[in-house]
Amino acid sequence: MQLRLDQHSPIYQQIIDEFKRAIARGELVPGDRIPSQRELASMVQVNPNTVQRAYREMEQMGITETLRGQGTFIVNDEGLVASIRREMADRALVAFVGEMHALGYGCDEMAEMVRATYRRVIEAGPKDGKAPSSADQGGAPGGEGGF
Amino acid sequence: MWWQQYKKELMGHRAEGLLIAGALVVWTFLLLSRVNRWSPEAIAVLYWLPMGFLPLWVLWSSVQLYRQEWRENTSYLMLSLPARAWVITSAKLAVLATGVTTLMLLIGAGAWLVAARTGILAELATSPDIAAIPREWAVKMSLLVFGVALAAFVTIGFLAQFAYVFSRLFSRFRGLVMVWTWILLFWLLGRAGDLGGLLLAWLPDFYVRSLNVISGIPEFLLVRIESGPFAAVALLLVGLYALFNAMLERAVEV
Amino acid sequence: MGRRRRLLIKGVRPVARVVFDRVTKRFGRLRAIDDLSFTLREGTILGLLGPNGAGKSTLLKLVAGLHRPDGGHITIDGEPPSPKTKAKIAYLPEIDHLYGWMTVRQTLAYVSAFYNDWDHDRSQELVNFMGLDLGARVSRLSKGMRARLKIVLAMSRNAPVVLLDEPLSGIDPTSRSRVLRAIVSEFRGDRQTIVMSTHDVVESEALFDEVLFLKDGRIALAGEAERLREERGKSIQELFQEVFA
Repeated sequence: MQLRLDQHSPIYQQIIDEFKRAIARGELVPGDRIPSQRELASMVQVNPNTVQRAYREMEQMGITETLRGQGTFIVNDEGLVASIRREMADRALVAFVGEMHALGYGCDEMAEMVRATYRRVIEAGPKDGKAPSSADQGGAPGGEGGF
Repeated sequence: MWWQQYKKELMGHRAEGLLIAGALVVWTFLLLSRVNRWSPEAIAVLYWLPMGFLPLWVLWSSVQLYRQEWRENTSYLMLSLPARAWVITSAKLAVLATGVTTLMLLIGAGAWLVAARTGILAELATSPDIAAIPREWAVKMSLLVFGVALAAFVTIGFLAQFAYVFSRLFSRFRGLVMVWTWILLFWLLGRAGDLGGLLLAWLPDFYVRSLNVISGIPEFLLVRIESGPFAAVALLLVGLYALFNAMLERAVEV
Repeated sequence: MGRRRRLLIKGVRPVARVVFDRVTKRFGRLRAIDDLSFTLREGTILGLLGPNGAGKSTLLKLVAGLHRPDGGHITIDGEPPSPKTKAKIAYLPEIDHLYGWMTVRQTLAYVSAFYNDWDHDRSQELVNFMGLDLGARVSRLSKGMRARLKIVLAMSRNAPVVLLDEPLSGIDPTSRSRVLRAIVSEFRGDRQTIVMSTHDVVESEALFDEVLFLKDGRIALAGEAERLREERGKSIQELFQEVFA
């Protein structure tokens, strides 16, 4: 798991977001074991208390569960993935719409531009050769459903 | 813990120790190589000449045992260890005593070697006065002299260490403080001795058998020595040692 | 007396409580620490931040018992610094404080002899992780390797209080990363408090639960790192630049 922390917002929050993103993208699937708190802290050189807080909150949110003596796992619940994906998409949308609105675009214009950009970037992407990450994302079924 | 500290001091100062011991050995063998070329008396005098530096060496190395810690910043380690000060101070004194003992043994062995090779020993053996000295007395006397010399050297060294550590409590004029403290401490010991002679006169005296050989006939004289002054000096030294430890534990900084 | 009793009732208290009560430390006219009061939160990593000369080293030395306060009181579990409190503290000074003539092995043997909380297995692991050569003489080690040895000495113990004075300063990036990793992986939050001073915040800020900005011997800003980020929307590094601009 790669963590790029920007340190402008609480680190525990960023850790949670990073896990959610990984789940939404399918990099982590329900039932996967995630690193122990100590492993993760050591890996990303973050205070173990901060990692502990992130793990505690993830457990409360129902994202993970800890099985004694076996480790911490992504909860085996397909609904979870959908809801996290929905949440991530929602967040991206809110940011996108807000930004576009500020630039003076209306709803229909935005929808049209999204369609055009999608054709240009995603559908034409593989032809350009290298766009593995967007290809991976596109591979997630129903990825464009939110739009 | 104490053993580790002692070992550390010993190893840490082995270079100086080996240097001075090596110089002593070289000097001895240099003089031995001059036997038959120089007069035995000259060799004997030359042999003893540099021994006058021994007290200076004791002084220098006792201060060095502490000064080096501050100069090389190892005082940070020394003062952060959870050891009582006496562990550190006694280990350093023990190393000093080890060094002094080793050097005295070396000097004694060298003296015997020089005396034997120059023929002085053989000459002495033929003297009836020397032959009359009981061996038992000679051994006891040598041990006494050795013990007194060791105690004296360690005391001198300890007072120098005290003066050095005391001077660390000041941020300026440390050299001056140290020298004056050292002188003052000797004055203090002198006063304590005087006072002890008066106040502790009730302590039992002790006697040393001194030997006088006249024309081959040994005659023992009992020399009475007051113990009061010694007891007072010893008491003062114990007090100073307690103060020294308290300084290291409570007052001194890195 | 009251405090002592409370400690006993609470039972095992593996984490030590460090309290500064109006502490002042002067060097000549300079007040290196100026009427400082704070209590170290137990079980956390505190970042002691400030530019050079802010009093960070002095503060740590006061806790370690290498400096004595001119005013106020410092207590560790209710007691002023003494050989007894020193047994609870692992102190890593900024300067090189080890005997140059010793080998790495001798240094470990010497230092470990003084502590009951020394963990030999962990020490061995850390030596391996740091890539230290046990037979190498301390005086021959590179600056980075010396820094690694110092962190091994500090983290091989189960000390309730660990004081790290600029553990990253002036060493190569690889050594810095190893030192950081050693701190994170050996930190025992349930029974240990770490105070780490640094003037270089970028690399280490993710390490801190709490930060204390020290300026001219006084607290310029203190608080929980995450809360500061949340409330101000800024990284600790940015706050640092703001405070010390």
